[in-house]
Amino acid sequence: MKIYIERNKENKEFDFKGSVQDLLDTLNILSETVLVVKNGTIITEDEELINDDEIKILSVVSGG
Amino acid sequence: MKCEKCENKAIIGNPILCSEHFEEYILKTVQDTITQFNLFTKETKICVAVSGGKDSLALIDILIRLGYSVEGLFVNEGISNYREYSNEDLEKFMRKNKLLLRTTSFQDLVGHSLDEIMNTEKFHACSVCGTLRRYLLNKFSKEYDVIATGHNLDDEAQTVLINLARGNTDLMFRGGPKSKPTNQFTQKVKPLIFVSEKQLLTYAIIRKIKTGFEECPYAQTSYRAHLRDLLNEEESKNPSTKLNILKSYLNLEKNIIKCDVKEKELCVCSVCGEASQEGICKACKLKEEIINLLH
Ligand SMILES: [Zn+2]
Ligand SMILES: [Zn+2]
Repeated sequence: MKIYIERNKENKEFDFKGSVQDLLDTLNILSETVLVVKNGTIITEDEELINDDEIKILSVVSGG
Repeated sequence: MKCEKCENKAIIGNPILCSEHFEEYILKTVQDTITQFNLFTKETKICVAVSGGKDSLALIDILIRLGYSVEGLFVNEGISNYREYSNEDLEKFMRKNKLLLRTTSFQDLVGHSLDEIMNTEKFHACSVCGTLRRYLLNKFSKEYDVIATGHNLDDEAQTVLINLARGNTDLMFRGGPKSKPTNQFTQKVKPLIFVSEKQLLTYAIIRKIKTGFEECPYAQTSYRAHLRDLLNEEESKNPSTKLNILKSYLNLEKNIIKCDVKEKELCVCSVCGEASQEGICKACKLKEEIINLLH
């Protein structure tokens, strides 16, 4: 799975299957601090992901 | 997950809504806040304080959709590489919505950007930023009835905790959705305080307002950032933590302590003529310090 983590401007690629919440747990990211986008659409934490999905993890934190 | 109101897929889990119903929810939440706290009416001249973040643009977008008349006041702090949208995007957004955008900056006020001020290593970024920002917003908003800021639920819950933890009982009850009206200061209102930062980002993305991501480089070191992380951890485990903190605050303010808080007498700054709590205002004192250090 290809994952882009906006906050660190970091691209990752590894095998993954499971829910968005599982992915966030794996990456040690709190769900409250991010929005997860799959193929251009915002998805909820319960959504199941497959290895072919391209995921963007957007950071909620900002300054004003 | 399916939307609570229709058959479409939910895009957010708190509340569980599809994008269409989520937009509706945000507009209603903000309108309810405006009504409940009597923030302003359709006749009010509203100045929106535009910052580097998505929040203030989302605020403008929401207020326009609700039928309010707004103009923007952009305070450029002078932090390089810190914009969630470029200046061109900002101008394009304002032009598209046919809104007036006035611009001022720390550079205009003290002759230096926040980056230059911070290079001296003599100041605390958030405190310099807060003082100069407040000053500029007040100075350039005199012809408006209110200044609306993009403060969200996360900001407010953090502020309540900061004041509690630091024992700032004087500042404690200056929070909430609107400041007390005075002759010298334009009243400040916060229509987004019941919208969480995560909800705001979701809205900004649906409305294509957010174009990039940059975190304020100075935020990392602040106590606020520490409490932000703590609150997010708690909220992830116990949803509604932030909302409960804000509601507790509002109840306290309403029921107990309000009558005991004494406002300091205001006079006029002998240097710049703006309202001040002392003979020389905080911004002018800070300006002198900065100029002495950088010349
Ligand atoms: Zn729906
Ligand atoms: Zn002054």
